Amino acid sequence: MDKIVLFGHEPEFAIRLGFTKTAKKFFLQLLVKGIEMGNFKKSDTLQRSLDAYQQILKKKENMCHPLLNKMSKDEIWKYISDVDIGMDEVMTRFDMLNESGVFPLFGRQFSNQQSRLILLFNSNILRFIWQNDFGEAINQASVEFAEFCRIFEEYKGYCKSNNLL
Amino acid sequence: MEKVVAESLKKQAKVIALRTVSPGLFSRLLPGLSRLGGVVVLAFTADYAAGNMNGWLDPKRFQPLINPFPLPNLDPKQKPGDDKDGNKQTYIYETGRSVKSYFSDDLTSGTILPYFGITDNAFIAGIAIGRYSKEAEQVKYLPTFGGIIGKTDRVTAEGVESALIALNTYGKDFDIKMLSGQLQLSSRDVRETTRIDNLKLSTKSINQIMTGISWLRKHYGKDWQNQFYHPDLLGKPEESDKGSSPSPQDNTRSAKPPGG
Repeated sequence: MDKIVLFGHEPEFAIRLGFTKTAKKFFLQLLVKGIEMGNFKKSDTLQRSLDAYQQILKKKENMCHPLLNKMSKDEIWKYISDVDIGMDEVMTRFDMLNESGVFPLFGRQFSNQQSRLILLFNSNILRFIWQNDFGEAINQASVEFAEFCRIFEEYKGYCKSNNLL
Repeated sequence: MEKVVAESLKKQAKVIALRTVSPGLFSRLLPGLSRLGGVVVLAFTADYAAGNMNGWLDPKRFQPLINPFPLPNLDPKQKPGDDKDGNKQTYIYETGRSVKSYFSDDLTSGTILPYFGITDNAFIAGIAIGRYSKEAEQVKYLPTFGGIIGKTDRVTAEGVESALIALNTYGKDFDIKMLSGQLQLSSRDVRETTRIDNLKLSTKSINQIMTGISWLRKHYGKDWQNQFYHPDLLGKPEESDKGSSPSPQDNTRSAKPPGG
């Protein structure tokens, strides 16, 4: 890897950007409260990460689900993975949550693993619940929405001013 | 000897009836047929010539019965273009390809397996930049298989493609196993399946694959799996194949390729 640029502070919220030898292709990783999201092993363009950020800005109010806000991470995971209720109900739940934007994809850099992410917004806090790959632990961490936006704006500005998109 | 040949013939004839006409299988079948006598050969070829087998080559078999969410007609020579909101679209297609037959001793050389793919360009090169030249076997077999299945945004298209590949790699309960954490998706498994010719998944992200399943259920109905699940060409028949094996007559999809 040629160069790594870090935006933000790892113990709070950070974006790690890795350069490759291919123009316009980059590694990408998010760190929420120091916990890694993505394995930093697949490179791709960066536009999708900015698209996901724009969607979060637009849909954050829809990402507030009173039912899920009261649940623990394990209860939420069961809610979205409970196949005992039947695929019809599973798909109904998925469509409802997907429509409200709680399953953002920050780029193909995150798609080479059997990952899953749910993102909830409540009282100006973004709550991340995610699994990086098959059989791995389910992580949970929260970050203030203003801090999330501040770091993403910094990252976005860097991408644009350095013609990375 | 004749019994063995007859049983083999019966099995292979069934396979051919279940699937598209495969040049590799057909050529392999002919010597066995000859051994049994010209009557069988004549009956078989007459059936073939009468068009019963040609049903597999007829794109009309994919015409919709009911599709609550039809998409506009799709031309493989044109780019998928943008949706009404200006978002770039990606084609999802099902055609035939013979790559795996070059790698495996189990497959007859030239055997055509179904192949799922996606492209942001036209499918056939010509007027627009295309994924395949017009001479490519993928173009030749496009109408034989599902053709252009539909078009949607790139994230969803990757999910649809991967859902179809996972279905034909792990079986009809792959979604349940995937969601409940029992199934580890692997491109190695995809390379080894003889149901389809794909070599890898375009995404392993569960959210993306679920988005793809949602799209398939919307456009092809809740039984989308039966419409896209291919019997194993040369592998051991599974229980799940027996009840749902399509025939040339009953394999009509309940929904037209959304958009196509």
